Amino acid sequence: MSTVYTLYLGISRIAMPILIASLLFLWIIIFKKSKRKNEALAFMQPEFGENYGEIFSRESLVGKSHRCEVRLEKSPHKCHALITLEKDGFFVEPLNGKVAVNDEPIYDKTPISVGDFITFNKEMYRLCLPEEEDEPCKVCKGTGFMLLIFTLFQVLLCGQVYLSPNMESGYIFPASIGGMILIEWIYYIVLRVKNGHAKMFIEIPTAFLLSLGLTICYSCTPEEYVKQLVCIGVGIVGAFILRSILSGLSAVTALRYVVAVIALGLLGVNLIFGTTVYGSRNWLDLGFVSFQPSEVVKVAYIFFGGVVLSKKELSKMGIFIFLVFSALCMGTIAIMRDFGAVAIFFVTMVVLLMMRHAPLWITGGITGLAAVSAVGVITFLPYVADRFAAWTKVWQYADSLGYQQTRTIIACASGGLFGVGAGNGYLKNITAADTDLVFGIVSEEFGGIISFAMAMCFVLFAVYAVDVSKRCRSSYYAGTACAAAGMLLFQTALNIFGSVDILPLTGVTIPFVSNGGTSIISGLCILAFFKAAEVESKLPETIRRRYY
Amino acid sequence: MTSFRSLFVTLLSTIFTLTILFHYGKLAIHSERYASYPTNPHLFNQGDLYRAGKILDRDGNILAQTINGKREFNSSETIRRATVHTVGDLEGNVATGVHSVYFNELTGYNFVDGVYDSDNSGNDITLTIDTDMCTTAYKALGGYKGTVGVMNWKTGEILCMVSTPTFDPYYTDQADKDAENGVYVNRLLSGQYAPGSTFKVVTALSGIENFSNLDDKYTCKNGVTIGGEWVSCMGNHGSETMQSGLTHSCNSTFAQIGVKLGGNTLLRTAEGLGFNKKVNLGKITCAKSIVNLTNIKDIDLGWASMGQHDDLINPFHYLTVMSAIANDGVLKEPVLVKKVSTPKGTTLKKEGGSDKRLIAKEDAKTLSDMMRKVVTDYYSDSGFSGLETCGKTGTAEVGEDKRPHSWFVGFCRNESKPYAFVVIVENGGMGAGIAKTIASRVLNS
Ligand SMILES: [Zn+2]
Repeated sequence: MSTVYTLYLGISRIAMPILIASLLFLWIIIFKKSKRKNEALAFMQPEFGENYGEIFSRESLVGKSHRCEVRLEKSPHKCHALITLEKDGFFVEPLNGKVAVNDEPIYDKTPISVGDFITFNKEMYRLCLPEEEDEPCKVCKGTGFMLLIFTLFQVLLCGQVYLSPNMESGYIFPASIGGMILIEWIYYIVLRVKNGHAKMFIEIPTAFLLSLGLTICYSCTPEEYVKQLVCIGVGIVGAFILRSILSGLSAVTALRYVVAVIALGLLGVNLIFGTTVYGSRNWLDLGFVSFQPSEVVKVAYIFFGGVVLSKKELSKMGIFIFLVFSALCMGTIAIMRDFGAVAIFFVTMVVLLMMRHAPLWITGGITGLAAVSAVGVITFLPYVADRFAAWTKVWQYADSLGYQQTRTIIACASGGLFGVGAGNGYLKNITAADTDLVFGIVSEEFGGIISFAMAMCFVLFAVYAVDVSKRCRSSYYAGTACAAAGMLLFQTALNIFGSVDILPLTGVTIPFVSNGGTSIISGLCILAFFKAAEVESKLPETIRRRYY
Repeated sequence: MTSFRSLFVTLLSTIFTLTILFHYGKLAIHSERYASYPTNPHLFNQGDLYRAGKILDRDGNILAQTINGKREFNSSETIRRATVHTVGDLEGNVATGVHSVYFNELTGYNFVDGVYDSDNSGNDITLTIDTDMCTTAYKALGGYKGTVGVMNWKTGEILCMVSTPTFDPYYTDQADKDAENGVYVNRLLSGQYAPGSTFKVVTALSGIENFSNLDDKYTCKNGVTIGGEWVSCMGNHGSETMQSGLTHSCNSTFAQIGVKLGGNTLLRTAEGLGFNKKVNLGKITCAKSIVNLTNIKDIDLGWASMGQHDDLINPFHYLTVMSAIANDGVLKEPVLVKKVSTPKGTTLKKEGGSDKRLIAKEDAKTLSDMMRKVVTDYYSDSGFSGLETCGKTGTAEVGEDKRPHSWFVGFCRNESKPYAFVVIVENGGMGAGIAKTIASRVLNS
């Protein structure tokens, strides 16, 4: 090792965790400051009594059910009617009960305006607007500073990789990280110019995870590095496309069955023509490119699940359709023996059901059913039983079934809190380490602080999604954002805890960090659900323009 | 209601965070065990520890070092065998060995920095042992199983630590066959033996501390009746004082002294000397010395007072007791690792240095004089000339058809050779014989 490298490593291995720790700290501070309170879009003022109905979201239910925003006391229907806010203003649509607008009975979706009297059965309400204009969004200061800290981290990382004697010292890594830095700053400036402020609560952690992923890819499989870069590019483009589709609920509703058919079709093709990698038949080889359909289906699943569970459909067949779709997805993936992915879909399903107020007995019943089938799978499938055999006693099987886990734990201990430097670890030499054991690689080479930060990024996503979902004007966006967060978090949990023997090893990837093109593309696309929800959490422009 | 919807995601995040903290907590607690696993390629090469500093004796002789990525021991097989229980092997068979216990110091590993080390060489450890004395002791033990420990009572330094049967660390596969004979056990640190008559020193100390008159007479007629039961003695000593009873190792005398003291008083003295308590040598955890004296019958107390009943002594612990008696009642903290230093010579850590009074000064002096008389009056100073040796032998019965264990414990009062010593020869036979010969050879080396 040259003196320059020794000196550089000595400093940067301490500096990088400090930068990342302060980055997360800043994230939390800025996030807390930028939190806004939830403002009602409109009120339903009752003719008699004090029983105000506050309309927060783009679709609000009226009925006697406890999950209705406007609760009726005399209606016999749980879901009596639906009030929606669309581009052209407010609408009311009878679902099960009688509705009249200004004493005129209506039978279809009808526009309503402020001051109108709406009668549900015998209860009359008046549509009012909140009196004060909502406070201007606090400018989120500090994002630029966060980005600056992160850029510093990336520069240091670049140097570590470039100077490392254990890695190829070509220009491609510095060039790609440089490109990333450039894109981050352009993105930031565009946001500042367009909105007057920039929020990058999702973007910066993602860029951090991607940087770690790129480093691991560069040191484990340099020949796949360019492919990885292309996939990131495709993923970002995909995320923007999905984001623009998500900007209109009508487009989402129109596309729901197309998406579902494509998803099931992909899985079907996969089932028939799939190739087996590490015991799971979840790869599809198209000759020029091979990918994992189940990763693509993850995005489709959230997309579809969000629509069919919308408030409007909930009163009809929504839950039933969703459950059938879920069963088909999970069933096919289970046949492909990708049980990790099945678990991820299951958790996402539960999040969606909870977010959309599905009756608890359905959620509970399904969970019970899942538990029973999980026990069955563990007991009767030798391939799965094997993985459970070594679970929690990997040291007894240190050179057989517990090989990967023990090596990961040793790597975590070897890295300490600050790591041994990018590329200087040994865990990467183990088969499939760059997908299954990335937590160990990060712990070994960058240390415990950075690997902790890596894991916490997914918690931050969840914190963000939960917060945004509470303010979301549309329950579609609230539901999909939480589902996306739950999916990413649970997938990360399976990977990390599997590799350190807290859970059985399942061979799922950590989104953005693990090597694997499809996983990165789908991960990036899933982020579109966060960004869509973020916009939806603001007071809609339509309201501002029309009524103030 | 809105927060109930997202409760599941919040719950997931919380469980996730707690679990990941659990992982890091577990890692922090067990980090050394994980890092020292022999498949860790940062420190081991195919199971061989290669990134570790030198282990040196007090004179700078190299006992273990890494040359070209390979761990090498001393070139002399005799030295390897004499020091292996102190130095430890590379597979962790000797649990108390420096290679195992001082793994962090030797490799430079710690939880914060991990295995990161800018010059990739670990740290050197200088021990207090004297290789020559160890080889002398190893040779003197001959084919016997046993242990020899020597400690400088002025400084607390362990000079000699030998345990037999021993093995050559280069050939652990051969030693594995011998594992059931305790080849991997450092008998000095991990052994627990019936003390036999050497325990009479503890009973005598308790007498010194508690009796106003040490000239009381005790009768011996080839034994004595205690609580209606017979305690036998090797001789028919007639009438003995405590001093002459110790000199003649009279069982009758000490059984009566023990009963006169009572179990609780004797226990107080024993526990003051460190019985029934944790015993450590630096970072090394040793076995305990154990006495059970509460709520026992007089006859058992009688037997316990002269080291039979169910007393068990850890040889290293008894070595510290001898050191304290020699050093006017003050125990210098025992030291094995003199210093930990970087390859460039910067000292990182020193051990030892603290004092602890176990015995009042006058009592220690009285006991020391009594033990001196045991040597001069009974065994004579031959073999120990000029050392001013004080001591006590012991014979511990270990079973019907086996020869008893032979003990010799004590210290030299000569200021130029301030050595406390413990010698145990398993199945060495009656009395002073073999143990005393070994002690004499080691102390004169
Ligand atoms: Zn006698």
